[in-house]
Amino acid sequence: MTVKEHQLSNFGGKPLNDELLHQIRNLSAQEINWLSGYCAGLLDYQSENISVPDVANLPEANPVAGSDSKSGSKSAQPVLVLYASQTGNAQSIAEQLFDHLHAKSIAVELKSSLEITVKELANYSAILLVASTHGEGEPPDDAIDLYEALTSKKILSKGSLLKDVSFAVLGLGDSSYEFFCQTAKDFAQSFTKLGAQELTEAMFCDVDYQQSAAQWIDQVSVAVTALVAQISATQSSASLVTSNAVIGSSSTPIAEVNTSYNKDNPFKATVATIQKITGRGSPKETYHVEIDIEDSNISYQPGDALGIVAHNQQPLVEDIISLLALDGEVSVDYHNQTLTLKHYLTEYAELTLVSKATIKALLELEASVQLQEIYDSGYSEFITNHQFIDLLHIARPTITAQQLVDILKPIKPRLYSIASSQQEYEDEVHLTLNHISVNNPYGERYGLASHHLTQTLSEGEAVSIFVEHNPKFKLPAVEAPVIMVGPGTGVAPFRAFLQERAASNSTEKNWLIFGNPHFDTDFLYQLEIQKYVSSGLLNKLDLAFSRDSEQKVYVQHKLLENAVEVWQWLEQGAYFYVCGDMHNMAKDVEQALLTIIQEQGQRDEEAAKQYLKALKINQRYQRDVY
Amino acid sequence: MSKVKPTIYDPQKHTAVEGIKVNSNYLRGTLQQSLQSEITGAIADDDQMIIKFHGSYQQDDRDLRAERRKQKLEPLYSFMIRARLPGGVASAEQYKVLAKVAQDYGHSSLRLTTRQTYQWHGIVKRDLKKTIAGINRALVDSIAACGDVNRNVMANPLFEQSKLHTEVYQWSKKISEHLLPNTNAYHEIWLDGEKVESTEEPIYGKTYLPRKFKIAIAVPPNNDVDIYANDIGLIAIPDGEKLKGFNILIGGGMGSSHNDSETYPRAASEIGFCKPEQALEVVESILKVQRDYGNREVRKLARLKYTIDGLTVEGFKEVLADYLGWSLQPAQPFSFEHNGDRYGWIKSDDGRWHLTLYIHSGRIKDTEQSQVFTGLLKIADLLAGQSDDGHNGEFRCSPNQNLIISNVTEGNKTSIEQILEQHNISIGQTETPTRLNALACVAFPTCALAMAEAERYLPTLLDKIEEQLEQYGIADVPINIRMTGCPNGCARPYLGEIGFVGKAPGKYNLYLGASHTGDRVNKLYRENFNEEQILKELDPIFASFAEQRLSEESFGDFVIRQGYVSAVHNGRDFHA
Ligand code: SRM
Ligand SMILES: Cc1cc2nc3c(=O)[nH]c(=O)nc-3n(C[C@H](O)[C@H](O)[C@H](O)COP(=O)(O)OP(=O)(O)OC[C@H]3O[C@@H](n4cnc5c(N)ncnc54)[C@H](O)[C@@H]3O)c2cc1C
Ligand SMILES: Cc1cc2nc3c(=O)[nH]c(=O)nc-3n(C[C@H](O)[C@H](O)[C@H](O)COP(=O)(O)O)c2cc1C
Ligand code: SF4
Repeated sequence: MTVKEHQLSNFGGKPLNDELLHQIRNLSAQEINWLSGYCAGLLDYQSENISVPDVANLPEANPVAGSDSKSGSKSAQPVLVLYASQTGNAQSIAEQLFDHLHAKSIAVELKSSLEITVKELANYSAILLVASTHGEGEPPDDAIDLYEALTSKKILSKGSLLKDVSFAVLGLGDSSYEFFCQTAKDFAQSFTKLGAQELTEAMFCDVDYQQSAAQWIDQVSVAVTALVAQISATQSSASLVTSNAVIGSSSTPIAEVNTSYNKDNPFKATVATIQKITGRGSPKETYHVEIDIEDSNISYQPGDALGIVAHNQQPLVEDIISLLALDGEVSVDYHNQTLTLKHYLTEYAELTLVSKATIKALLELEASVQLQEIYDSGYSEFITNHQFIDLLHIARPTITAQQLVDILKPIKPRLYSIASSQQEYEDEVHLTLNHISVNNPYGERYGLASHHLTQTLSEGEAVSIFVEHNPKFKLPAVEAPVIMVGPGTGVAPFRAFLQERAASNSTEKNWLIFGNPHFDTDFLYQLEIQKYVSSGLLNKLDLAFSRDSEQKVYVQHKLLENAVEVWQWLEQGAYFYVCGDMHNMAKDVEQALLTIIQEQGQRDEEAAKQYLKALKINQRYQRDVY
Repeated sequence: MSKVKPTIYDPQKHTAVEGIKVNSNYLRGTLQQSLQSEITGAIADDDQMIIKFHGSYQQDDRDLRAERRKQKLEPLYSFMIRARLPGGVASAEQYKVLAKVAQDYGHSSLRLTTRQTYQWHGIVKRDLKKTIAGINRALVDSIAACGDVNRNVMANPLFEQSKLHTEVYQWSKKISEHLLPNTNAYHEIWLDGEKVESTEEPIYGKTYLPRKFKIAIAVPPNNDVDIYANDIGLIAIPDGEKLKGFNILIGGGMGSSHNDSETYPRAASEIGFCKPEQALEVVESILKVQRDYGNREVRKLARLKYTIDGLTVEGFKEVLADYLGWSLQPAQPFSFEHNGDRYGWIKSDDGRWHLTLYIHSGRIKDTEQSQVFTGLLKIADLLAGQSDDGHNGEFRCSPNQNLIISNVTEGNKTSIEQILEQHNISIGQTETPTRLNALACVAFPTCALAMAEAERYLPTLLDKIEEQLEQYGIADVPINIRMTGCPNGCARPYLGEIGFVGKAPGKYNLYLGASHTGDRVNKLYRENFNEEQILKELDPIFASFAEQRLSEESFGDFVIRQGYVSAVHNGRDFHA
């Protein structure tokens, strides 16, 4: 997020929220007396700004409270660290917070939003939620049920359900999406509506969240400590003096700096192979890319993604500069460094994905009826084939170089599901990607990373990469059958899965369901898949070539055709994986799956949902959709 | 003691192909399963042999092979389907259906073959059944159009004596029907015919023939069917307007392998004469001798021509007499003039009109230059529309990859001419006689056996050869030029006065000295030549032909008289 947003979401704003002020006013003399001491301690802590306040000076919550959930008194209510996470970022922050609070022997529990109902939320003194957003502003898979419940009229009518609960929310998101951190925002809103009090102001992080997340952890842990202290104070001042536990507990460093490669410190690898793998006449431009990672000691697991750090095309950069009649050599300020405009646009600016915020900012600088309409109604349709430069064609603004810098978002890496296993290709990473190119009245537009990887780079040249681990998309830890639904480029991680299963000569069953427009041109990795079938590694293969027959057939239809077997496999403990398009495919597949569970498992809709939820909880339903 | 000895399959000695046939449950194989498998566009290996008997070959687009391997895609498999069309005759109505099938599944392209029928190329497996069913809707089938059985029976269109021709055409049909395999597999697999448990093959038996088998009927003086290239040739001997009987020729064939003197093209040998009503018995008996005496241990030596040279012609005649129980009468005199097509309009004695079109390499397909496919379909629509007594206009395939629109009424002539105009379809009035006589086989990209280009390349080579002929003022002398992409000889290159046989991409063996009437094969003159070498080599020969040609002397006879090559009188001389 931009510097401005960042500051706002920090300790700025008003010192104490009304809720807390109100509470303070109602404190007893004894309590106020204690509080003054506490505040003094807190003050030192903050001025020194060390990560952990010396808990010895602070009362600790009743150690047994957390475990003894039956106890009715508020002090018995533990703190809940809750996460809603798709690819594990939110989870890892939640875990850091948990470790941190635990280290201070605060009664705290860590839960995935899968593992809790709205009612159970009321059993906690505080809910500390870390939530990411996926899809088009949708909750991550593990949070769908809780989210629906919390936003349902039925629940919200119970106005005071959480009246005794405090909460803090950290949103992880990406401001280039229309609905930035929507899930976190909605959760926060529901908590408030249900009468919960905001412990600290919600913070919404953009793609580079590490630093601000660390601050949030500090901020929250202090507030929680205070809260717990305050609560226990209200019930017994005795515990204050007798407290002597965990002195100087060494807690894990919060802003845990990732030493391995990341988007700010990518590895310069070499592209070994760039091969189009859709045949002549195909409607798709799908490529197989092999990247050499020798001597990087990068290690990845099937299911992980590879981040590509790409620079904007020179022609695009130059067009933008000349459209705005600016000088590429003028220097501009960006994140308190000084760069030439050209340098900034090439390496730091997101030019191919248009965020709604950027349109808004541009409109503020230059009124444009046409652009206003797009902003008001046509955005989601517009972005499917337009980029930032098109905004300039439409609005024809006169702005300064610095204004340009201020309205643009920071460029972000693109992720690609890794299509290889290191058991088979120790020193390589393989990708399967579509070259994105779209036309609009103003010209032909290319995708940043896909164009870079497939068109501008040539074999032997360098590419900046890092591994984005995804603990939530992994082969079963135990031996179990797997059903893999991966149409189009969604087949990528399953190629890795199959290589892994082959290498570790697993004896478990594998079922691949693949789809694409045409058999003749779009059967990705056909030769490899044929080998896996004849070798027996692939026990079942279903193909949906949508445009080869009168009525379109998609993967979900293949699932329904095979309903009986899908159910058998599930009952045998099969893991169900989905990868690829999130806009339609992933939704349709989930619907098909629910239908199968209902019909084959003779369950009503509700029971089927429960069954699916259980699958999620046991990591037997995993998705990698984009 | 009788020389009749039925075939017994011997797994030890006989080739794998023999085993496949025996175990195919009368040509069913595992085709059904092969068609169902979605993971590949191909069919099981054994089925690839079996499906030939159903008139289809598995192929792949050889232009794309290397590219697709890189793309991790299997070769772009597709199927060629060949119709069984005795005498090459189809009504306008039927042609319409056949062309529509090509529109739906075959890239709007039909291929006229050197054996008077149509081929569809590039049919993908998932459309194969629909396509074959579609063809059958025209009451045309593809049974035994390929495979180790008797193939499409040729009969030449000779319109000056249309009564005689009609009779001959009827015989081509009778022979074709008579020698059809009996199995119901075709109907079960392609036409959802219900299963018939026990099938008998009274003529063929479980092992069918050792190799492909070909029969043609010619009506002198026209040898356009290249009677000498067939396993059995019947030469119609007229008695006034009626058919007196047939001279019988045996052991013709073109196929050979480079630098393998065991294999050779062979012009058929005359062995006698029979009456029309004896014809079926005679061809069946010859076929049975080949069935029982043919080589089943070495496929490349399995054709009738090798069986005959093994037994000697006289020896073969004795065996045949035993199979027949009687002997053929001595052959009757006849004479051929040439083996090409005559272009343009011809009026037959019944007042109908016949138009032979020039279609390069028999490829019926729209191009920038001419919209042959669309034009012909329009003509078919026109004729099929007005159906007086059923045969108001026919589409006949010539034996040289051309199309004849025949039995046209006076009234339709001009409308047909207009359509030809509009679609720029040639009736052979502007091309040089040499180009009109030229033949090229399919070769790349569909033919699995091609070593060099043929159909796609011959036109450009002809341009250059025509320049030379022009230069020496002999452009009006017809010279038979034939090119094939490999030594199998599908365009009968060894019967070309000049034959080009592919050896490698861009490289051809150059053959000279076949007769202009098609009764003498040519001989290897230069090996492994590229275009430049070919033209350099031919130039002086054309020059001296222009100067020293005797009157009416054909180029083939000339090169022998001048000693460029020696004449080949029987198969064994070919390599001598
Ligand atoms: C279409 C056609 C050539 C053309 O341009 O018209 C043709 C095309 C093929 N011929 Fe032929 N042959 C064709 C007439 C011939 C002729 C000419 C004739 O019969 O008058 C010959 C020489 C006469 C003979 O049989 O000796 C001929 C001798 C062969 C041979 C060699 C046979 C031999 O005895 O060695 C093969 C290869 C084989 O059978 O193993 C062959 C094989 C083939 C195949 C099927 C290649 C294969 O086996 O995979 C070719 C398919 C190419 C394609 O993509 O269509 N074709 N083939 C002709 C179809 C005739 C028909 O309608 O049935
Ligand atoms: C975890 C993960 C795994 C992924 N795995 C793969 C993979 O294996 N293979 C693969 O090909 N991709 C994968 N993706 C998608 C990939 O990350 C990129 O989003 C995609 O390649 C486009 O990036 P780009 O830089 O080429 O195009 P960008 O520069 O991002 O531009 C995209 C362009 O597409 C156009 N567009 C069309 N529809 C839309 C839309 N709905 N929203 C926005 N823009 C749109 C716009 O004009 C835009 O300019 C994955 C994504 C994630 C998050
Ligand atoms: C396919 C996809 C869709 C996303 N959609 C949104 C979105 O609509 N709004 C948003 O703010 N962030 C969006 N994001 C960004 C994620 O929220 C962000 O990457 C976050 O760090 C993921 O955290 P997690 O690993 O806990 O799920 C999206 C990310 C992906 C991969
Ligand atoms: S001659 Fe050879 S290349 Fe030509 S079609 Fe026949 S088999 Fe193919």
